Amino acid sequence: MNARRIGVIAAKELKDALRDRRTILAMILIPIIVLPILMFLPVFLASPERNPVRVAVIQTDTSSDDFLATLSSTQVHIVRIGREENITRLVQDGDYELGMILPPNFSRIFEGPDETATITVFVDQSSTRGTIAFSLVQDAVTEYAKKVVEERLAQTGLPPEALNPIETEVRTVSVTGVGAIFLVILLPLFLGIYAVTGAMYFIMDTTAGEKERKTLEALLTMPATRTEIVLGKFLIAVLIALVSSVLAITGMMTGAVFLVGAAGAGEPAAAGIAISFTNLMLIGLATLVLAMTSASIEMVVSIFARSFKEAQNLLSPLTIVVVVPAMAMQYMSEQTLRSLELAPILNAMLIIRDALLNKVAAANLAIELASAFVYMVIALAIAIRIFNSEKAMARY
Amino acid sequence: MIRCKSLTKKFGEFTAVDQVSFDVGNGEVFGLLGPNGAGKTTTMRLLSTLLRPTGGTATIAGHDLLREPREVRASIGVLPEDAGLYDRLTPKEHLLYYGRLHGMHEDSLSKRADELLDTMELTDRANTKVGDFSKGMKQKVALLRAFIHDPPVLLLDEPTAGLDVMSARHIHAFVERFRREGKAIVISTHNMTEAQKLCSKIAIIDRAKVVGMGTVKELQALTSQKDLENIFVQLVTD
Repeated sequence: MNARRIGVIAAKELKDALRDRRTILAMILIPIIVLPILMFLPVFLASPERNPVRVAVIQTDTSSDDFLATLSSTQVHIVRIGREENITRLVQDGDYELGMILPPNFSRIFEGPDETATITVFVDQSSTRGTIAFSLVQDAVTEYAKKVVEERLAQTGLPPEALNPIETEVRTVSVTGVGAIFLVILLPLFLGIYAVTGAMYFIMDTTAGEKERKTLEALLTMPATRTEIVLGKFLIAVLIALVSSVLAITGMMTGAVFLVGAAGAGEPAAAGIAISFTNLMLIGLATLVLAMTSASIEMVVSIFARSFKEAQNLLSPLTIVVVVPAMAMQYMSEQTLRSLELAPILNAMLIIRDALLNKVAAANLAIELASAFVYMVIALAIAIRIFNSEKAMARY
Repeated sequence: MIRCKSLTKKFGEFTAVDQVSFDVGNGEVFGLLGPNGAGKTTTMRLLSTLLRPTGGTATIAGHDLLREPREVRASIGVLPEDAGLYDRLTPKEHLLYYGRLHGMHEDSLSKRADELLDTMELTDRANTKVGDFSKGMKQKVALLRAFIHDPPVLLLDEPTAGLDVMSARHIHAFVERFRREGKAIVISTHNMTEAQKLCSKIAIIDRAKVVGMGTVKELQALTSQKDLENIFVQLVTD
């Protein structure tokens, strides 16, 4: 094996890939611009902080003004409408996110312990902003009801604590909130998806595409061995997969910080996350092994195809192979996950998740890393063998 | 320089090349003439080590196809049936890439690439991506690619197929130059005029077998026909 020839092939592949607009689009633009926008723009647009929800209110008298003052905030814009208006239609048509009819003599609920007021709410729960408006109204009702109950208790001489005989004190043992969701679900998922699919276009182009354009035939008549050709192409495929994985994560973090932060929908996803250097290296290593394994598998499948399109049809389902275990991981118990340490893809994703949550155990890591490495070596060996197979290569 | 001994290739039950034998010496242009699907391209692919023979063998520049495929590839320059160029690379980049794969040194490689581009009148397009080139220009680049490492043997599969007269003449002139330089050249073609014009010896292949071989004069004597087209028709219909 000649390292110089592998380098010559890799350098040409990189130059060719960087001149291909479609590779640049898949490797750089989609992960760093399109992905974060698609993920976080809906959150940004739905956010009531940025764009208050509009609530239409039919009020029979002014007795409910006090309640409306509780509801009114920077997130809720209250519009009083006349009784003759069709409130159902107004909500259905999207003029308002929520409609509300407040009963007359609303303040009578302060008069006796048996008095109850019924607020009628009209909401389209299939709309995100509708559910946000409903939740804000429920919060206001709860707050207002608490005030009423406290007054009723005061009249009977009971302290407010009488309503809360048991309190729950929560002590979190890991990161919580938006940050945790980002860490445990989204980050391993997107690292996995991009490690597997980031170089898919390049691989199809450099194998089935080369076959289809007949450039492979000229290359195979060079003194480079087929193993050297595979390795040259493989190196660039792995590089592209890693770059797009890093860019996807960077894009997600940037999107989370700017869009979610700007929307005020919670603390930025990346806030408060501190990953040690060792764990960062482990995440990088797991992503690398995952990228190498998938690049090999994709090369095996793609070289069998006669054309780019055939390769695309054969490889597209691979995305599901990553997404399904990554999503399923969230619903599995720790015991189930540990029993799946030897499963391909899942092993690398477990390393990433454990490193992110800072709960890496040496024994588990050794099993996961060793199995991921073995799969990678097997897949690469098969790719080299396939490239050396006349049957696969001569399939025009 | 090239010695083919009972070269045979079978794909399952189908025989694509059947016991083909011929010799090509230095400064000779050997033509493989035959109808579509006769086995010309498969023979070329066997000689360029893309396919492995199922019977017989060949030696090229003293190297055996089966035992020394890498040495064979280092000794040959191949122009495949399709030019097979990378649309996003320039002619100069193509020549540098394939020259490097042949282990050429950077200084001499760049100089040789410039010289070759000049001989094909491609100097002013040396840094234009070949995706924008005409078929004739692409074929010129592909021919230079085959010749970048100055191999003793050239295998040219349908070198002028689909080209206009001027481009074809340019390619013919280049083949003639290679011949004068003492290269052993194999051309696969179904163009009678081209075969008659360029080849010192012709093998007519039909249904995987050589049905006639020799100089044009020898073939005329064999068939009692004067015109190569008539010779061809007589041999493939017999």
